[in-house]
Amino acid sequence: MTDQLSLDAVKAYGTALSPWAHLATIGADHQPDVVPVHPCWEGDVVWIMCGLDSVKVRNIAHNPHVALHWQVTEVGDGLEVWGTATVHADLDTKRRLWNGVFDYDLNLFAPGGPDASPDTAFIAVQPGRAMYMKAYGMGGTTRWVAS
Amino acid sequence: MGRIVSGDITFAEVRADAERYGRIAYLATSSASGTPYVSPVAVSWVGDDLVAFLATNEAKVANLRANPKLCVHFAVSETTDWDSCILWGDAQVVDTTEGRQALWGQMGYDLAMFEPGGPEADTHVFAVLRPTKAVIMRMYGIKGRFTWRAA
Repeated sequence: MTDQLSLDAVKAYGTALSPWAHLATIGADHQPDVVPVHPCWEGDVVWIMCGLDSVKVRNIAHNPHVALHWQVTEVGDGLEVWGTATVHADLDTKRRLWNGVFDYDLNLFAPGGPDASPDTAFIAVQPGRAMYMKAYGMGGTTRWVAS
Repeated sequence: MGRIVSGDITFAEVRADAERYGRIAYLATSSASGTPYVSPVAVSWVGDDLVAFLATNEAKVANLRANPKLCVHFAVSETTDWDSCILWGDAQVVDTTEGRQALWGQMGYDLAMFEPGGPEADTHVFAVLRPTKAVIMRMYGIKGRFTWRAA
């Protein structure tokens, strides 16, 4: 089964699956890298808190294409989203995102808050396509593609 | 907060730690055009290699044929205190009957559930990773970071 999804359905699936996702990026040497992240949606954009000197930030500077796979359930339901990422370290963005966008307390990871955490930044992922799989795809696959 | 513990570890320590996370790991590959893919896969150790059984038509198989570089991140969870075990290296796609026969009985689960045609069927392959680097992070690195590199 292959069917079409809306972006709202993609967001709902991701939220229902898990707060955790695995973010894949590609380095300048074409080496993939994958790390767990705690993404949150703001409108149609996925935001991820990150360290400004992290591998994923260096990779995105070279190649903005990223993939996110939400943590699968025990029965293998999962969601993968591909998109284009940008890194934001400016104070206005940090102040805006610090409260009310993420569903966890960012101060736990950056106690200085938005004004005194110069090593903290945010990755914005603009989704381009997505695939939702039931039971690792054996129960069907549905897709979304940006128009 | 105390000083973050870091240092070198042996491959045997990486192997032992990897057993804590269960069978599911997230595999990241790159397409020929540089698009990343990441997906959960059941993995098993066969000697010093990490092996996954994959459908031949999966994107990750095409990706590995174009670019053998692979990154594997075992699933993180509260039960392992949010620790991470990450492996890097080149993966070989084993797509011959002889190669599949050699690996068929070594995955720890019944591959016939997914490939009734057995090791002779060309519709499945094995991806075999020989790690060259590993990093173990305790609680996202907050409690420590340990690295192994192949000599």
